[in-house]
Amino acid sequence: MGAIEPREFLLLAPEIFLAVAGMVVLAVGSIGRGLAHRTTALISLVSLAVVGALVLTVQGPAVGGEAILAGMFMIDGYALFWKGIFLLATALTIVLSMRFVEEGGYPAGEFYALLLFATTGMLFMASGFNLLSIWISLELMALSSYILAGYFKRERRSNEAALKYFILGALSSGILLYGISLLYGATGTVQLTELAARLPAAMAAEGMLVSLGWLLLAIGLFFKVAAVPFHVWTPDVYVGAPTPVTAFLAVGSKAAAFAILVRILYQGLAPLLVEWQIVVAAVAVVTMIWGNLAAVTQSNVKRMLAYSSIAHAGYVLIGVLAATEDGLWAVLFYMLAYSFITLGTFATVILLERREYAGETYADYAGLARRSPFLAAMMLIFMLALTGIPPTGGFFGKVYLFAAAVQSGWTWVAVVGVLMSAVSLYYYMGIVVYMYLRDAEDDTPTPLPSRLLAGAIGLCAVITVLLGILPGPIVELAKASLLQLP
Amino acid sequence: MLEVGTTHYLVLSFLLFAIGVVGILARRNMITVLMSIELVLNSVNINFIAFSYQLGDLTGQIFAIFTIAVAAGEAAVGLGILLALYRLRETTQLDGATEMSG
Amino acid sequence: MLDLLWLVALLPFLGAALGAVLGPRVDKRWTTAVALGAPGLSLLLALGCIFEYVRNVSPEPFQSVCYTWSAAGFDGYMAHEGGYQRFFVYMNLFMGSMLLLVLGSNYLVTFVGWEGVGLCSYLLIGFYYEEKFPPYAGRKAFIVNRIGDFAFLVGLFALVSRFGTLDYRTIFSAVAASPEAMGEPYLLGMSFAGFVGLCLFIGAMGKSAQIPLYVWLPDAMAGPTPVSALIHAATMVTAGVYMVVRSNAIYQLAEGVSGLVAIVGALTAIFAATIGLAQTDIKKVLAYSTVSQLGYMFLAAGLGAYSAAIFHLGTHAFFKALLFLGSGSVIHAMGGEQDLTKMGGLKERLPSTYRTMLIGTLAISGVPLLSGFFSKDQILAAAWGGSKPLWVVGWLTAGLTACYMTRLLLLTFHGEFRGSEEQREHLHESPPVMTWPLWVLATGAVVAGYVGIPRLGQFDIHVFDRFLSPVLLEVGHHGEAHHASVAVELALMAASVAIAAAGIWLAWKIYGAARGLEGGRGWAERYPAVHRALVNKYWVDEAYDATVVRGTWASARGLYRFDAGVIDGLVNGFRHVTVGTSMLSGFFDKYVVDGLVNLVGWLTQAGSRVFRRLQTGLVSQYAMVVVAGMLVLVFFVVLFR
Repeated sequence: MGAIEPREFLLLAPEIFLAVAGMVVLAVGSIGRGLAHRTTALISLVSLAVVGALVLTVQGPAVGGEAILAGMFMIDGYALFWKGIFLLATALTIVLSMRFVEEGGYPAGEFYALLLFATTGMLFMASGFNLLSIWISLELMALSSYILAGYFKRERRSNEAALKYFILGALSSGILLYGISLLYGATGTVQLTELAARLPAAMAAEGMLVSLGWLLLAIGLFFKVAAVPFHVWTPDVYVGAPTPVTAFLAVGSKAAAFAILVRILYQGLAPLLVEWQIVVAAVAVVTMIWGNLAAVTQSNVKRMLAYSSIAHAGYVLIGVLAATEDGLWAVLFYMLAYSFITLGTFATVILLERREYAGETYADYAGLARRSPFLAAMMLIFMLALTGIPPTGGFFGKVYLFAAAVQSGWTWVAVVGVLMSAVSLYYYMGIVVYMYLRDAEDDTPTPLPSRLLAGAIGLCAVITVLLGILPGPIVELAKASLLQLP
Repeated sequence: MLEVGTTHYLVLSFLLFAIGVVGILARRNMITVLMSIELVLNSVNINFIAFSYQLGDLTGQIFAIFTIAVAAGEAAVGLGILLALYRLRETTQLDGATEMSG
Repeated sequence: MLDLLWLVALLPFLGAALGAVLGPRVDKRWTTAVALGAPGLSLLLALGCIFEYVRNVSPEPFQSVCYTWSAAGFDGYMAHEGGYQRFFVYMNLFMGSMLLLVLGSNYLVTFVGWEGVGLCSYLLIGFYYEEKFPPYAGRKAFIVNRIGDFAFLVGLFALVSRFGTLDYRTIFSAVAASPEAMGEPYLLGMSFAGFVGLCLFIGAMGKSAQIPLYVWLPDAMAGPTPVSALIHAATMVTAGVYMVVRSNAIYQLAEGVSGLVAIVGALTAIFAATIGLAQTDIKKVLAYSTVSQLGYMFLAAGLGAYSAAIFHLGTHAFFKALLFLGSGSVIHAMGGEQDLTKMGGLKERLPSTYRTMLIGTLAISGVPLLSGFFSKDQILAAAWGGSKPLWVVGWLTAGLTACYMTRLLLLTFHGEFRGSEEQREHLHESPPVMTWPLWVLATGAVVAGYVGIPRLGQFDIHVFDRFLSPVLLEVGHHGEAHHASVAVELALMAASVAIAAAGIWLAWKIYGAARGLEGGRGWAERYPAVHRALVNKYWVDEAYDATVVRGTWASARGLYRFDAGVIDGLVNGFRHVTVGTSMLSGFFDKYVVDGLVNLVGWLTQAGSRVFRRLQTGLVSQYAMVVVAGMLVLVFFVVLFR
C-alpha cells in the first residue's frame, strides 16, 4: 500500500458531491416547510444531473480501470455503466415521486435526501473494490431504503413493510458480514484482487472457512437481489412501501446488488468459479420457478410485480452464472432495459393510484383501454417487455441472457428460463386482458393528473421499444464496460 | 492452563451468531429482535478481532470499528421503525404486523 | 423508389399501433384518418414501386398482387366506416402482415406474415366476441390453420437443414443448380423436393381452405362482411396459392406432389361448387364459391401454370371482393338478414348493388370479355394440356359456378320479396360510401382480365407473364407446358363459354322469372335423389366422415355442424384408438384441448398456491425461510466441497 495522493479523492468527486447534495436537500427541506416539495425535488434532480456530468468528466478518463485509495475503490467502465443506470433510475424515481410525496403530506426533504443517500451508496457500490467499502456502501443504501419503505409512517402497511424489510435486511446483513469475516480469517485480506490471489492457497489450508465464507457472503447478496429462498421480504415490502419507493427498490437496489454480486464473484472469488457456478445455477432455477409460479395467482398488481421482479432476478442470475463476456454484457444490457421497463410499469401504477392504495388490484385495471387508452397502451408495452416479446428491450435482454447460458454449457438452466417465461405470459397478459377486454364499473375517463409523470412513462416506453428495435448501441456500450473474467 | 486460541473465539462467535439468529426467529417482541440483531453483528466483530490478532493484520480491527458504527446506525433505524410501530398499534409485538401475506 | 419498399409493409403496422394508442375515445374522424391514411400511403408507395419495377425490371415481382390487395383493403375500410377503432387496428395489422407476407424475400419473413394474417383473421372472425358463435368460429379457423402451419414449419425446417438459409433466391438458385440432388430419396420414400413441397402444400391447404382443411372458411363468415370480403375472399386465403407459386422451383421438381396439388385443387373446386348450389345463406354461398375458386388456382399451380394461378388470383380478388361487399350491402339493407329464402325482388330497391353484383356474377361465371373469362380460360387451357380428366372437372365446375351464382342473384334480386313487412319497410340502397367501392371493384372486375389476354399463336401480348417471369424459374427438364394450337385454344374457349351459358340457363330455368323458390322446390320434387345429394351435399363428406367418426354424425345439426364434424371427428378417431372411448366432436375441444390446457394451468395454480402459503406474513417465519435456505445451501456446499 503506497501513500494516498489527494488526486485520488478528487476521482470520487461525484459520490462526495451527491452526499453533500443529500444533506443540502435535508436542510432545505427542514427549513422551508411550505415550498419544500418542489424545491427539494428540483435540487435533487439538478444535483443528479451534476453528478452525471461529474461521473463523465472526472471518472470518464479513468475508464480503463484505476484502483484508488489503496484499492478501496475501482474506477472502470463497468462501474460507470452501473452508475449510469443508478443515476437514471433515481432521477426517474424522483419524477415518479413528486405528486405522490406532495399528496402524502409527509416532509418531502427527508424523502429526497434519503433517495440521494441511497444513490450515493449505490454509486460507491459500483466502484467498491474492497469488501469493507462494498459493505459500508451497501449498508448506506440499505438503511436509507428501510426508512424509505416506512416513509408513510402513519400508514400501517408502510410501517409493516419497513419492519419486515429491516429485520430481514439486518439478518441478511449479519449473514453477509459473517461470511466476510470468515473469508478474512482464511486469507487475511478483504481487498478483491488480493483475495483472488490468496484464495487458492487458502483453499488448500482452510477449505472449510473459505467455503462457508464465500457462501454466506453470496447469500447476503442473494437476499439483496431477491433470489429465492432469500426473497421472502420482497412481496410484502413491495406492496407496503410507497409505490415510488417500490420502484426504486425494484430497480436501483436490485441493480446495485447485482453490480457488487458480479464484481465479487468475478473478481474476488474468481478462483472458486466452479463452486459458485453450481450454487448460482441452483438459486437461479429455484428463483425463476418460484417467482413465476407464485405470481400466477396474485390479485394485487404490486404483489404480482414483486414476484415478477423476483423472477427477473432469476433470469439475470443466468447471465451471471455463464461467466463469459457474452453473459456479462447480457446482464448489463438486461438490467438497463429492465430498469426502464420496471420504472415505466410502476409509474403507470402510480398514476392509477388515486386514493391511498387504490388501483392495485387487477380489477382496478378493468376497461382501462376505454378510460385511458394512453395508459393502457403504455402498460401493454411494459407487460410485453416484461414477458420478453419483441419488439421490446425485454426480448433482446432475455435472448442475450439465454444465449449466453447456452453457449457456456448451461442449457438446462436456459430451458427452465424459457419455460418460466411462458408461464409469465399468463400473469402479465392477465393485466392486458383486464385492460382491454373487461368492462369497467364506471366508464369515466381517467385523467392524467401529471403531465410530467405521463412524460416519464412515455419516455420509458419509447426507450423500451427502442432497445427492442436498435439494441446495437447499448450492446456496444455494455461490451465496452466488461470486467476481467474469472 | 488451557491456551485460548483462535478456535475458541470462533466457537464463541458462532454461538453468539446462533443465539442471535434464533432470537430473530423465535422472539415476537421487536425490542428483543433488535437486541438479537446486535448479537449477530457483534459475533462478527469477535471474528474480525480474533482473526486480526491471529494474522497480525489491522484490517480486521478497522472492519470491526466500522461494523460497530453501522450497527449503531442500524439500531437507530430499527428503533425509529419500532417507534412508528408502537404509535400505530400501541404494542411492540410483531405478531400483529401481518396485514400483508401471500 | 424500390429502396422504400420496406415502408410499404411498415406503414400499416404504424397505423395499427397509432390506432391502438389513440383509443376509442378519440373522435371517429381521427381514427378513420389514421386507418385509411396508413394503408393509403402504403398503396401510393407500392404503386410507385410497381412503376419503377415495370420500367427497369428488377427481381421484385408480385407487387401487382400487393397492389390489388391494397386496393381491396382500402375499399374494405371504406365500406365499414361506421366501425370501431378496434376494427381498424386489426385491419391495419392485417394489412401490414399481408404485405410482409408477399414482400418478404425469404420464407421466414413470409412465415411471420403468414402467422400475422392468421392471427388477424382469428381476431376479426371473432370480432363480435359478445355473441356466442363468432369466437367459436375464430377458434376453429385458428386451430385448423395451425395444422397446416405445423406442416409448413416442418417444410421450413427441412429447407434450413438442407440449404442453411430460407432466402428465396439462394434456395431457388441452389435448386436450379442441382435438380438431381433434389430428386434423391429423402424421407418417407419421398424425394427432398417432394417432401418439402408436400409440407408447404399442407400449409397452403390450411390457409387457402383446400380439402380437407377447408372447413373453417364457411364458418369464418361470422366476421364482419368487409372482413369476409377482404380477408376470407380476396387476400389471406390466397396466401397459400402465392406460396405454392413462389416455391415453383421446388414444385417443378416434385411431379408427384404437383399432381396431388392439381387433384386436390380440382376436387376442392367441384366439391365446393356443388355445396354452393344448395346453400341458403348468402355469405355461405360466397364462401363455398371462394373455396371453389381457390381450388381452381391450385389446379393451375399443380399443373405448372403458375402465372395462370396468380392471374386468376388477381381477377378473383376483384370480383369476389365485389360480390362480398355487395352481399354486405344487401344484408345491410335487410337489417342483418342473410337468408336467401327471405329475400327476392331487391332489384328496384338496390339498383347500384344489383348492377355491380350482376357484373361480378358475370365475371365469375366466365362470360366473355370480363376478367373471370380470361383467367379461367387460361387455367382450363393448361388443364387441357396437362390432364384431360382434370380439364373435365374444371370445365364442369365452371358451369356449376355460373349456375349457383346466377341462382344467388335471382333469389336475391328477382321475383317477389319474401321477407317480413318490417324488412320491407327497412329496405334501402346503401349510402354512397358503400356503393362507390362496389363500382370501383366492378370496374376492376371488368378490366382486370386485359393484363393477361391469352396468347393466340404469334400474338404474345401477355403482359402478366413477363411481369412474373423473374420468379418463374425453369428448373428440371420438362419446361413450360406445351402451348395448345390456336384452334384448340379457341375450341376450349367456346367450350367454357358454352358451359357457362348452360349454367346460367339452368339457373334461370329453375329460379328465373317469377318462379323464385317455387322453381327450386319443383325441381327438388322432380329429382329427389339429386336434390338430396345437393342438400346433403356432404355426401362425399358423409362417406369420408362415416369411416372416421362411425356415424356419430347421423343427426347433423345443419350444414355448419356438419363441417365441424369432419375435423373434430378425425380427432375423435384418434382418441378412439388411444383412449378407447368415442365421444361427440364438441367434446374434443372441451376435454382434450381445454383439458390439457387446464391441467397445465391447474398445476401452475396449485404450485402458485403452495408458494403463496409459505408467505404467511409473519416476519419471524420469513426469517425462518431465509435461515432454512441458508442451511440447505451450507449443507450442500460443505457436503460436496
